[in-house]
Amino acid sequence: MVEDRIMKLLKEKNVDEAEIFIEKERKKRVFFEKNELKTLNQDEYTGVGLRVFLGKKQGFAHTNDLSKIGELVEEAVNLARNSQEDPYVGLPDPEEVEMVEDLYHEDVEKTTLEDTLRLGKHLVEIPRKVDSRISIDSAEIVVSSREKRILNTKGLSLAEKKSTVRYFVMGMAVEGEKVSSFDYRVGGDVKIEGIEDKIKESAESFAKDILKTLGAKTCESFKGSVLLSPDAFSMIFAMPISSLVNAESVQERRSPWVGKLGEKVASDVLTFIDEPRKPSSIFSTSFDREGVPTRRTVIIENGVLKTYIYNTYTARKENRKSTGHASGWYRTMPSISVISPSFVSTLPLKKIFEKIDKGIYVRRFSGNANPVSGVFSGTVKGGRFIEKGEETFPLIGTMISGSIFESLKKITAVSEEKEITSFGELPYVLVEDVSVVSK
Amino acid sequence: MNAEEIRGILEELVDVVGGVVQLRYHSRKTRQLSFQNGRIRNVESGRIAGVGVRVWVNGIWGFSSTTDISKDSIYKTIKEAFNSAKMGEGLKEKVVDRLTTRPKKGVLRVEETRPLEEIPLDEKIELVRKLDENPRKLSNKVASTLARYTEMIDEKVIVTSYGTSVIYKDSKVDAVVYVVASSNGEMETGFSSVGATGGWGELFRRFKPEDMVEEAVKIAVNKLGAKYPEGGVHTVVLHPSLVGVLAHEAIGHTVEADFVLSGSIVKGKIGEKVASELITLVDSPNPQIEKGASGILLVDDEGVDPIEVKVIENGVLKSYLHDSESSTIFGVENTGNARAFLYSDEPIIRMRNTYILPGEMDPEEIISSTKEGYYLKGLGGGGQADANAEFMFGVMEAWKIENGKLAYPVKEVTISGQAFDVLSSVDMVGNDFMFTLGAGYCGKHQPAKVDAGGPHLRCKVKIGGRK
Repeated sequence: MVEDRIMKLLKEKNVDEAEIFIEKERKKRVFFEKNELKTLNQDEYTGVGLRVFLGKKQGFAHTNDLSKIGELVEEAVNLARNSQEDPYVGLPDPEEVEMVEDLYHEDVEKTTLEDTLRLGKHLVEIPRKVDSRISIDSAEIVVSSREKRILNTKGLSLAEKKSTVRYFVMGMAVEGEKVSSFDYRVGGDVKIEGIEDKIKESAESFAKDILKTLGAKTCESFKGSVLLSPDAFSMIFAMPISSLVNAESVQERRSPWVGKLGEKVASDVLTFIDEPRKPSSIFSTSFDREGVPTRRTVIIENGVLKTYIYNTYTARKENRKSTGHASGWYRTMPSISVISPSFVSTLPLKKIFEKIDKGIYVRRFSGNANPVSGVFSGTVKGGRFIEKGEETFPLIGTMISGSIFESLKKITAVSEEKEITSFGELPYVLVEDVSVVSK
Repeated sequence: MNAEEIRGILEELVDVVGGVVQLRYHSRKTRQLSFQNGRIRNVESGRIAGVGVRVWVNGIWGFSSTTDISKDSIYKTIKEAFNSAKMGEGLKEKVVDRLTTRPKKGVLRVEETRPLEEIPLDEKIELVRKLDENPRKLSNKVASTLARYTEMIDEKVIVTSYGTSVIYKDSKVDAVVYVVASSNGEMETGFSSVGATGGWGELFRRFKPEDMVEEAVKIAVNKLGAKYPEGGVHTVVLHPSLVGVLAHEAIGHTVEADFVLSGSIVKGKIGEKVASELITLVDSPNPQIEKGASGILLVDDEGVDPIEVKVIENGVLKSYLHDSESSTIFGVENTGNARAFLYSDEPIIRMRNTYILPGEMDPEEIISSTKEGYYLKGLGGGGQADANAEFMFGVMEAWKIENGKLAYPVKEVTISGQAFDVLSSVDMVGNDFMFTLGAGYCGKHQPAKVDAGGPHLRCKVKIGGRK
């Protein structure tokens, strides 16, 4: 085993403490472009990331070339030697880890490239069947099985296997000279069973939705109700919040939420929980990048900020324990991030629509949301104007902007319906008093 | 194994399955250093290497890669890619019967002044330490600092069945300073970056580390207490940094041939007027206009000799950006825009250095002749394009222009518009030029190091604001 070889070399070099992170992946990938099959791809790799501590100095090196393990150790030790002391660097103590159930299915690993192709074809064929005006820019399905192993000199030794099927479809509707905005759907599962239906459902929902955006126009500028899709919600709120509660941002004075624990930061309807231990979820994991067990973490409860999230380094600075949020892979040192964001729902989507007298629906937010200044501003993509609870016409040339901090307090509904986004499975969210600039 | 030995193996294997085969060995050594608030944050390095194999059978690509550089393993990988491609037989409707190539041969190396490999680690650490420390000396409003240095040293060997045989070496390097300024509970960010393909000579060719520090602090501090812009369509003077973003993000992506074929707005518009006649937009693999641009490319990842492309000439759309397949579909020359980030990534159509050519006006004169509008500088946050060329990007630094003068700073400006409408609205183009996107990566399924730039110019865009 590669880890034994590394441990032996580390002993020879009198390294005090070290951590070995190994990742092995086998994947089959089918890629479509311009409405047609383009590439059939299969691959595998094993990568190793090595963190070495010499006293209070830390070095990190990674490689995917297992024939050069000697060089990897040499490099990590050399970097640690040249680094500077920091009293807080170090490894977590091993803890008992209970494994999350049902994250690995052998049938995923056994799926052939031919089967992957058969499944992936739906992504291109279904939308085109729904309507010939739909053009698929690209679509992809990746069937992968991945194993991560982590060991450290404090005796920690863990391994977890995960299987995933992930896909996306991205495209637009074209009618004569008219071209709609892009839209996309992403999806996935840990198993093959049922995936075909999910793919079909995503492809169909993508197609129906994109057709609604043809013939878009501007609306009057106003300040009012904005309904965010799960994807738009992730861009404007979920991702910035995750950065605001990151203990590194807090300790390094880059988060305006310094000292806000126990304070109200959002409206009552917002409860934000990290749920990394849900069985059968592609976002779940049993332990983090440092081997610390993951845990359900209530971050915001009824609008009140409950905790920041920590890895071992930031936890040591406050003389507390890591919350199991060390993130990263073999090519990176442990950083911090939310693992599987989850929001407590308050209403079905239909009821949320009924609440809107005049407003807009934002399918995609093409813009920036700055977690330091709190400003968000950007273009509405695939937007619809809503009057008296009904979508009336598609929007183009429309921008929304405001303050993340103020808008968090004006969230009035969180949907029961959820969609997989690249940031997790998220709800639709209604926000009031947002500036809409159009025309 | 050295590059010549690898080339020997690839040449021996390139014809084993027949048909069109691309073999690409790519080794990347990376190093990253960062400091924050006076403490070292990370010292890292990495090495990622392998051979990517593409085989083209009846219009379908089979792609596989291996990290084992032995002859046996590469042979197996070629077989696997070939079998994968065969699996797609008959599934594609529009199949072209050949690829358009212009194979390159030789040993290629991008020039480096002060090569990265000759600079000791100590000196690199000291550079980052100072970039992190010095902002705090300039202003007591600086609340947080972060500085990062990244380098990538690449070696490639590309051999193809259509005659490519090259060994290619280059280095890419960038440095960034990030500052948070704070006052009365308000927090604002400032950012400054440099990037190059080359060595430290190219990296600091225009801005020295002390200039970066000064710029980042000034941007963050100026935003404290600044007003928000007024939403709506405004006349703006764009600094070269945003002209670069406009060229890359708003126009460049829509003219990538893969994108055009899926139905982007410029489909069928070659020869039509799409911009003001003051606009000539170029995508160049090795621009003579300024050394050190980050997107320098001496051979593309299909082994094709890349050429300069005039995308728009005096306002008329002239060319898309192509790879070996799209150039056949359009019946034009292959521009050599196929690029892959790592050995395990497949080459796809990407930009290189994308820019608008300078015009005749003094940039100061452009501002002084603007009665009312905004002066916008630097990319703040991300930028994005769309199939319909509706773009958006965040602006790092902005001033209100009143009566030809920079009246006061404004903050958190995001601009948007339809790229070709915006380019048609251009009425003044400066005689200056700068590449400024060198520290950035462009994302399209995989990252790519690109550069972009231009002169100052004046146009009309939509600014997001408060109602």
